[in-house]
Amino acid sequence: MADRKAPPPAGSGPVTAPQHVLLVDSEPGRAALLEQALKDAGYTVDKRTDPNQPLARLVADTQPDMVIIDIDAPDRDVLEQMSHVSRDNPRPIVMYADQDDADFVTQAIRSGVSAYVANGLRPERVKSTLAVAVARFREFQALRQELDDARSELADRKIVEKAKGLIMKHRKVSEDEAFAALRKLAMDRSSRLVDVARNVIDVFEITQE
Amino acid sequence: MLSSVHSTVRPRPLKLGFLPLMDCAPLIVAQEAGYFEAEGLLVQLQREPSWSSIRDKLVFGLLDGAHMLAPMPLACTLGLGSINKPVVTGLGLGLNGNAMTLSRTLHDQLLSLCGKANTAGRSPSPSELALALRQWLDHNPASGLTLASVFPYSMHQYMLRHWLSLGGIDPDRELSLVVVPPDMMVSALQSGEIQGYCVGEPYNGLAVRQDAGRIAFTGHDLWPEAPEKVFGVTESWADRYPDTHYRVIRALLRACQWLDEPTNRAELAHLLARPEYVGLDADTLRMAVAQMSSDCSPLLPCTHKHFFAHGGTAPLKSRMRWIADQMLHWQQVEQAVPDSMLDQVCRLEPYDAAAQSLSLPTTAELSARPGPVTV
Repeated sequence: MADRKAPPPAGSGPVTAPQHVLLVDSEPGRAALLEQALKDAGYTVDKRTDPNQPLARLVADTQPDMVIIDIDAPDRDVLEQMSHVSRDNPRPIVMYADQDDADFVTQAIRSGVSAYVANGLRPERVKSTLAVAVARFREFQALRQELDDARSELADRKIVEKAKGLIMKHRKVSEDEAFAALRKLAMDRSSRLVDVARNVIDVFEITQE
Repeated sequence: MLSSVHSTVRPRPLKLGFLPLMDCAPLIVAQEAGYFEAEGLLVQLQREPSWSSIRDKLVFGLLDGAHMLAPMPLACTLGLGSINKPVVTGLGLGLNGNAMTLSRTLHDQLLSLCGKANTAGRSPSPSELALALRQWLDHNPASGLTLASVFPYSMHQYMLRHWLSLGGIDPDRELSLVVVPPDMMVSALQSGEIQGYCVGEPYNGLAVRQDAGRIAFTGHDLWPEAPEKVFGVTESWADRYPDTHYRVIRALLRACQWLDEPTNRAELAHLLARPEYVGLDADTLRMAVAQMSSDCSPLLPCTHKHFFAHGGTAPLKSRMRWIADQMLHWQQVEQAVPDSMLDQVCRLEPYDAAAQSLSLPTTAELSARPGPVTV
């Protein structure tokens, strides 16, 4: 095991030196977002976005004060052993979570953040770093949700268009009439327009065969 | 009366976590064969990426219950490597199933150190291999030997350490012990990052099939009838929903019995292969299932994996005592774990109630049997 930086001497006041964070996240967009936020807050950051890069070696090489890791990282257990084998290695963040902090840690886990912290790092500093990570993970979650919604809306619209086209072709009606027919069907059955459109497509496809 | 029953039943669908390994099978079978449903339970199975993720989600209430390494409930209750939150188990998920795989090079060298004359053609025992490794380390003091298990608080970790100690090897000073996730073991062996590992199936057989390693011995050769995985819930959950806990245990108990029926093995391999469960190719899983008890060979020895037989489902305190003693021996804890804590972690009441309702032996009847035997 390589030599670690000595912990700050007792009574030296709050740690103000830049802290070194290792960011482990296979979602490159989210990792970039958080990396920037941490750098803006004065941290030095190493990151791993390739899950095939061995984590143990990376921790040994970069000697981080804190590891922030995506809760879905398949090799997270590697850090559990490192923190068990040597007290100098990063330890699980939950060590710092007393009963008052349980809600905070639950939030972190829910948003997909877990973290390991080296000895000598102040709990309040850990908490503020973690808060930055949680905020960015959530922001990313919201962005992704928005994107997913937009994608599915687009997909729905394509299905409705296709159903409309089939009705126009086979019933020789105008676009407005085809759409009105679909909407009436949806209202009569109290189903979503896209579900009715899907059924219509299925029916036409069966009768075509 | 009705209202008091209702208050102890978890109202929403239950979220149960598992890791994609052979021995998550009881949860999958209970779901697919309708045993959960028969208990009036609505269950959502949630595949998790790591043991730490399982632990954190259980402890912080994002999971109701989980497939766990046998030492995990005690480790959580002791606060080892985590927040101190009591986790209990009312059900074991089977015995045996692990093996020690070594790289082909290391295995060949240990075999020749064992000497064919001494072993007269049979496979060398774990202690003969450990003594050979002792000699090997003496010849290669700067080898940088690295061996892997799956978690600091796992049977694999204790088996690996125990095996090394049989050869008088200090696992904390003479080599590196690391953790590698099960599905990365074979590639870590191939890349030379590690020279051996202790893991459950199918990741030993897979190394043999890919010609990356050899199975040196099985967990059963080292510690017959050792516990392996358990079903864990937090103590506060168990106290709040005793009726739900009882029903989950009953359903899983029936699944464990189903799993011990050799006629169900083909269906088991098929179920496990599904992408939402273990998701490996069906051939690999068929092989791992066959290795449980029947279709074995010197290259693919029998793992003696069983779920219900030999009291594999009972949350016996004797087994937890033995795990606690391993923790003490390897200095994961500083003092002996008190008996009262083992009583806290091993929940006998829901198991005994479920066992009685199915006319199966209770923990008291099973406790008379010996625990795992140290070779």
